[in-house]
Amino acid sequence: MPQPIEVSVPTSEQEARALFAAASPLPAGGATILTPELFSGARAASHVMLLHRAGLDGVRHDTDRVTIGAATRLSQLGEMPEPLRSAVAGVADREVRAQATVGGNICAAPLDGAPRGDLQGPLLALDAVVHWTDGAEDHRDGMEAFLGDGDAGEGARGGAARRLVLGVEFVPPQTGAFASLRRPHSHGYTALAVSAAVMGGELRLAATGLGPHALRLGSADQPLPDDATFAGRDDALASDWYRREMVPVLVRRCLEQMEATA
Amino acid sequence: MKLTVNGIDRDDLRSAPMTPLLDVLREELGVMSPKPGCRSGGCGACTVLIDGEPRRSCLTPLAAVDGAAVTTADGLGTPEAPALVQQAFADGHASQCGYCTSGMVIAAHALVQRRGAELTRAEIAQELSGHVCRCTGYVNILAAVEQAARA
Repeated sequence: MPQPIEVSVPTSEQEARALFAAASPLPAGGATILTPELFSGARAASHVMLLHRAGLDGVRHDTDRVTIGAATRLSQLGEMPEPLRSAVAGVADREVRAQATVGGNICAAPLDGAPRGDLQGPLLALDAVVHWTDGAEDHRDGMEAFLGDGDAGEGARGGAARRLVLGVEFVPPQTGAFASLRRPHSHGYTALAVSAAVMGGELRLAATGLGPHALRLGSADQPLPDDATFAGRDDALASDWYRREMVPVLVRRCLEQMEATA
Repeated sequence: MKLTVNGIDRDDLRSAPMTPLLDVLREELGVMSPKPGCRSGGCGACTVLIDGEPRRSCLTPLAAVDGAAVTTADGLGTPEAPALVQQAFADGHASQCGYCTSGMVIAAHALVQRRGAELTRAEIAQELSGHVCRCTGYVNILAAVEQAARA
């Protein structure tokens, strides 16, 4: 490694908050993305805070909402409503899901412009709220604002003044569904997935794979956002043309799933 | 920092805290069965048991497993007394070039321990889907894991 990295392992949320406020270390949940990036030199850090002992994990099901701690491993999520359930099941494999965390997933920076946070789309469809702190005060942002504030945690407020994500919460949907391009095994990112949720009678659609992070889609009839917000994406897994063609198909599959389970 | 690797205590490790466990094992401790493959968690060749649970050692920093017990494929059994899965791989010629084998064996061992005789062929395929055999030796691998599960 190019430089020594200081590593802190706080043993409580209070300790993690205090450390973040004082020294602004780079937070890491399961460190599944950060570890190889640091080792390869693709990313630099002088101070890392590992959160696996900070007590930021756990799922709480209240009558009107689900609250998930940032350091909750994907394997700890248990029974989740669609579209989150299927999205989680599609992340890598059992071993990676047992290490990767929800906070890390929604903060995962893009790789070569492709999104690596598979849960961003489902949480966007679920109109989830992200609870985070900048060290001085706590914030609650909708997923759209959170993702739009730079590249999933690395721009605007996320750059020099990084964010320590504490958790995410959402109201269980009336119904939901998830549909994606099938790929035979783990890849660094999702080629294309559509998440759908009916929240308070409103259909909310989101896509992963159209840009560097998940995007809110339009209506079921016209799901693709306009070109001003959607630049298109060509890579080895799928062309821009194919992705554009497949978005309405995946939306339709979601609608069919929701109708079948209604 | 310290680890117990294949039953042997390794204290005072010199590797930096964010060094991937894979490199601690191979470069500092000379335990070569976990293989570097994709180095991004996609191939499974580096899989080891950490406190009994299979994990990708390329994704795991040393600081996150300080004090843990690590078991690699060469710690599962001995040539004279191999683990069930190791014997099944040998019996069924379930490795070809062998590069994926140590990760496959670790994942399969954990799977058999967890599910035992209830395992179905479809479930084995699903559970090992994050492990890649580029020689396409999947059929023999699936059969070997099934054999170990029934043993």
